[in-house]
Formats: sequence, structure tokens, C-alpha cells
Amino acid sequence: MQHELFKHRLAYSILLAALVLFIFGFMVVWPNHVQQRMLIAAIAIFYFIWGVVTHVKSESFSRRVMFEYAGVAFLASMLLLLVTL
Amino acid sequence: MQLIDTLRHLFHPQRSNNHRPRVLHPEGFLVFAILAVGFWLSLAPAKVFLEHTGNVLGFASNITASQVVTLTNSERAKQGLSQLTVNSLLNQAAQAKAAHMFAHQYWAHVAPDGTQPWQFFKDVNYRYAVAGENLARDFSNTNDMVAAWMASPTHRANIMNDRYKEIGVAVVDGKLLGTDTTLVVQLFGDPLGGVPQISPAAKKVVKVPARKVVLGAEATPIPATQPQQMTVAENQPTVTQPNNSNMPPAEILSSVTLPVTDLPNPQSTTPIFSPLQLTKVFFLSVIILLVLTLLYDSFVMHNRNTVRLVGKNLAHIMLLVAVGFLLILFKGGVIG
Repeated sequence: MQHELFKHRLAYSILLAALVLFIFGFMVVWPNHVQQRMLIAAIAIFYFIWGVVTHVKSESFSRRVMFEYAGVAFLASMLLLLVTL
Repeated sequence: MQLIDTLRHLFHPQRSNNHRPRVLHPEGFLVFAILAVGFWLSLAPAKVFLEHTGNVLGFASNITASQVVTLTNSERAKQGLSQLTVNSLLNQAAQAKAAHMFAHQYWAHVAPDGTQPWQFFKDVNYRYAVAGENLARDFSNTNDMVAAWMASPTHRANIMNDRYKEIGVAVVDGKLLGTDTTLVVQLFGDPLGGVPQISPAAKKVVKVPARKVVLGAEATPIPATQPQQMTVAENQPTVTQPNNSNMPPAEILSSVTLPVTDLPNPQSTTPIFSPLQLTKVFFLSVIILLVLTLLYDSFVMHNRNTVRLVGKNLAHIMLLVAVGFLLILFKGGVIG
């Protein structure tokens, strides 16, 4: 895992920065649940794109990988969306 | 033996699952998402069922009117503003507003039948130069609720309005729009002539919907200053008895007379779990299961030194941990 982290340090740095911003934004806009849902949708889309781009750049992309990122992004967004309803 | 094989298929990378635990396949994530939605949808019928077997699932709020006043004054003190004093007429008006919202099933400053918030001031004969109203619902504690108001510029403006001198608060539990909730009505006023008003109707008979308990929140502001013509109309110099005949019959409780704040729970049993707590526990369990499986998968595949074309476990873990972190910190409450 350390090797993976070092090998794609730029990609992971971008992901980490996006997640930190997301957490910060999610807390700041509370209790406005509409804005929280917009942030959830944004991070889900970002994560999907991040996954696709990272795998395309490392020439390890496949439809299965794309669906995996879509699945994780969908699950993560559902878990957060449902508690804001 | 079959159970062990199934578990290995689900959680251990091997030939049967193409060297990727089945729960980490795209379909696996989709199944967990469907499970999450199913669990969330099942909470409402589960609550109905559990109501017959005991008060296991419900909303528990520990908000009290006195805490609302204390925290409101605390926020004002930080800005060097004067302390608001509790006015029993405003308490009555707040109580009447809450009862009106439950009776007519709406969540707004202006009722669907056109009743303005100022009507409740008028009903209790509270004469004001300036008045305001903050609403909240679904909060489980006073701190979160006041913090939510302070986070909203319009509600904050009401709390921080230096023209207000008096406050009235009602905290009432009931069922609103199909959901058990705690409604909080906070009224502000600057009494006409700056003299606190005393009414013979310091206590009022109001109908209290069967108390259940809530979670989540919402608050809505209204202009702190009345339109000029409305202010003039309200500033009648004569003090009269509150005209209860103007109140819809549904708002009158004939059997009990109570102080208007801190109404007790007639079925005073605190639910063991709130729907939000149960949802959080279930969702966090899903996240922990997936993160552990991802870690285990990374560990096993690292030792095998096998090449696979799959998503990045570390990225999935980072996202899921972030979601788990937010779930733990998530506070109910809505502001509108």
C-alpha cells in the first residue's frame, strides 16, 4: 500500500485534498441539507472521474474498473444522502 | 462447510471470485447501497410495529425552553447585547403557534389558511413595536438547534437584534406531516413603551398533541420589523383579555392547565433508539465491513504478488473513511 501511495502520490494528494475540502464544506454548510446534498453529489462525481482518469493514465482501465468506481461512489453518496433526508 | 465456502467467496480473494472478494465487486457495492436504502425505508413501518411492543424506536429530544432562552442570551452576551427577559405572553403565543402548526399540519411562518405569525401575538394581547419569530424542528438537543440558528444569517439576525427586549419559547412534541418531531417556536418582541407586559392569563390552556419524540431540524426567519401599517395597527394602547374565541377549537385543551413552557410528556417514556441513531449504526457497520475487507484484500494480494485489473483499494478506503467520519459527526436538523 505504501508503494501504491508513493507511485501515485499526485493522484492521492488530489483525492485527499478533495476529501478534506468535502468534509470541511459538509460541516460548514450545516444545517443546510440542500447544500450538503449538492456537496455529496459533487464528491461522488469527482470520485468517479478521479478513478477513471487515474486508471486511464496508468493504463489499467477497464469497464469493470469503471463500474467499480461508480458502485463505490454511489454507495458512499447513498449512505450520506439518506441521513440528510 | 457450505457457510465457510460462501464466506470465503464473499470476503477472501480466490479463484471462485476472480481473486477479488465478491463484496468488493461492482455488484457488491450496489447490493450494499440497496441494503442501505431498504433499511432506511423499513424504519417507518418498524417504528409503527415497535410502538405496539414498547417505546423502543422514536425520537428523543432533550430541548427545554429554559435552555433555549439561556443559550440565546449567551449568544447575545457575546456581542454585548442586552439580555432578553422571558415574557409569559410571548410564551403563550409561541405555544399557540406550535399547537396551530400541529393542528393544521404545516411548517411555515404563515399558515396555509393565511394566519400570520403576528396573529398569535395579537391573540395573547402582546403589544409590540417590533417582533420576530424563529422556528426549529427535529433537533435532539438545544445546543445544536441554537448553533443551527446562529449558522443561518436570517435567524442569527433575529437573535442578535438589539431592538428585542423579550422572548417567549415553546417546545412541543407531536406528529407533523407524518413524522414525530419536536417543534420549537421562539418569539421575540419589543413591548410597546418598553414596559414588560403582565397579563392575567399568565397560564393558558392549550392542546398538546400526544407527545412522542423526534430528530432533525428546521428554522425559518421572518422580518424582524413589521411593516409600518401593521406596527401601527398592533400598537393599541388598551390592554384587553386574550380573546380565546379567535383560536380554533382544536387548539384548546379543556382538561389540563399548564405553564406554557416545558410541557411534560404525558407518556413519559424515552425511546431507546432514534431512527437517526439506528441508521448511523447500520451505515457505519457497512463501512467498517467494507474497509476491513479492503484492507484484508490488499494484505492478501500483496503477499501473493498477483496482478489484477481492479480499482484502488486505498482510494476506496479513503472515501469510505471520510463518509464514516461524517456519519459519526452528522447532526440532525434542517433549516428552511
